[in-house]
Amino acid sequence: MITIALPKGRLMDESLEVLNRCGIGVRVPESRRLFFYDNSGQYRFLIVRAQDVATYVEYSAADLGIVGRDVLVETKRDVFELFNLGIGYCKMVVAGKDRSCIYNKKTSVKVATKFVNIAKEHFFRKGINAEIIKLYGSIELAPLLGLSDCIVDIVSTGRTLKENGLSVIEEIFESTGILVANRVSYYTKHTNIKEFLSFLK
Amino acid sequence: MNKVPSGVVHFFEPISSLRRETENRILSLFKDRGYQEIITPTFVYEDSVSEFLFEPLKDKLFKLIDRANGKTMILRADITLQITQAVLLGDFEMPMRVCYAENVYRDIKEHLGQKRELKQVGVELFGVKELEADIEVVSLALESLRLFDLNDIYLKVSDTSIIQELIDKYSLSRNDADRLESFVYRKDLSSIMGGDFPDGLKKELEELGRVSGTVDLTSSLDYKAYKVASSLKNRFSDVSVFCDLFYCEHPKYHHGITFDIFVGNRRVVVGGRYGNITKKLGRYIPALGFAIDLDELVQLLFERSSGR
Repeated sequence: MITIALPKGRLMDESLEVLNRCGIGVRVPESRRLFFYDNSGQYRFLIVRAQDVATYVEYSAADLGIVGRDVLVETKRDVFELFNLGIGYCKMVVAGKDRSCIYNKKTSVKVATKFVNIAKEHFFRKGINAEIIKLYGSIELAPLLGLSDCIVDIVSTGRTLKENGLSVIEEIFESTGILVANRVSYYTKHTNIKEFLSFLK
Repeated sequence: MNKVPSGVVHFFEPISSLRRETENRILSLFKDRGYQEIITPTFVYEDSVSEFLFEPLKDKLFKLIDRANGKTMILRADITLQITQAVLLGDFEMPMRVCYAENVYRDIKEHLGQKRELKQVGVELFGVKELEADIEVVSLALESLRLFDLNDIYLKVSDTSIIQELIDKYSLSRNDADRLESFVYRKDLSSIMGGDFPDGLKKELEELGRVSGTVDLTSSLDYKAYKVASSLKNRFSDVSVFCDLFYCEHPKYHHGITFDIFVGNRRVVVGGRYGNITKKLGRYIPALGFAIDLDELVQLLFERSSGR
């Protein structure tokens, strides 16, 4: 049997859709139980926070996991990235009121974000001295209140940005859901993983 | 109050005895096979090793100051490098076989749950470039695990030169080569196929992924890694052998054949060729070896003996 960690939230619904379409019958339990099996009993699924999926996989609590590239790049987990599922599309961007909020500053740029590592690396590569302010949500408020000059966040439709008077200044990368595998399970459970992968493809 | 720093642990009975016995049994097997034990200093000058150290270790060094001359010293972070330097310094007869059981110290961030002091038991073999040396060393690693009645041993064999040769063949720029290596390291075929690499290269990489798999001895492939893998499958029919040709390290450590041995869901042994290090140190000598992660192995044996 193989264990697959699924991320709570939007990516979860799309993942289940993909699995059902590929002939792996799954239904999320209505109880509060955090794991469930597919109809054949061959696969065990775990329901975890999106940020924790790759951690479960890296430390072999799960053999496989579905995780957005955004989270994967941020958390830098040491896992195999076996297959791009193409679901949950979004972009990692720098957003602000306008370009001058970064490029006209005479001193360091304040950046509010949930993605501290991605933001740090992005500005480091551009040679811009950035001060990172870690927030856990409602990031778009930060530039409006002067808490930061800009934000680094994911956008899918861009509606939240627009309604808060912000626009995309630059794109960092595109993100979709990736099937990741534990570096040991990949070899020790290869037959099962290969079969699972062939269903998805 | 006695506070223990994170990443170091006490061992009590029965684990302490189990650990001691395990180490002794493995070491005496190595010695029976003609590997002589070497004991190296716990700390060395930073400037004598830093240039040659595996890149990811460089920012994980424990540092001390030598009060005699103000120079920075580090706690041993890599045994192989120390042994290689010692061997190059002396005038030893080749081939040379050495073994060791020593702690390494790595200042790893606490939240990763890894140890900062860990013990490795292993061997190094210098001076033989033929495949028989690879087969000898991998066999010895498998035999040392066999001492403990483990019945779910998985061996993975790969060769870092396969991707290197493709990079040369398609004359990739340094930047593209680095991108390719990082994709292969993560087995990210999707990004390779969707990327701007030459079509011929994509095809070859896809094929390498396709033919990689568990060795069943019915087919044959013209790769060194496959020869090593199938020869080991022949000798150790109860071990599941995986030949991974779509493989790369990033950053690179080994150079040539590399292998891992897994038991259950633990990686217990890591090994391979590192002639690149002797070359970098000024005198090329073929070199290979492996390290058993004693902490992982003992934890596994303890869990199994106590029926957990």
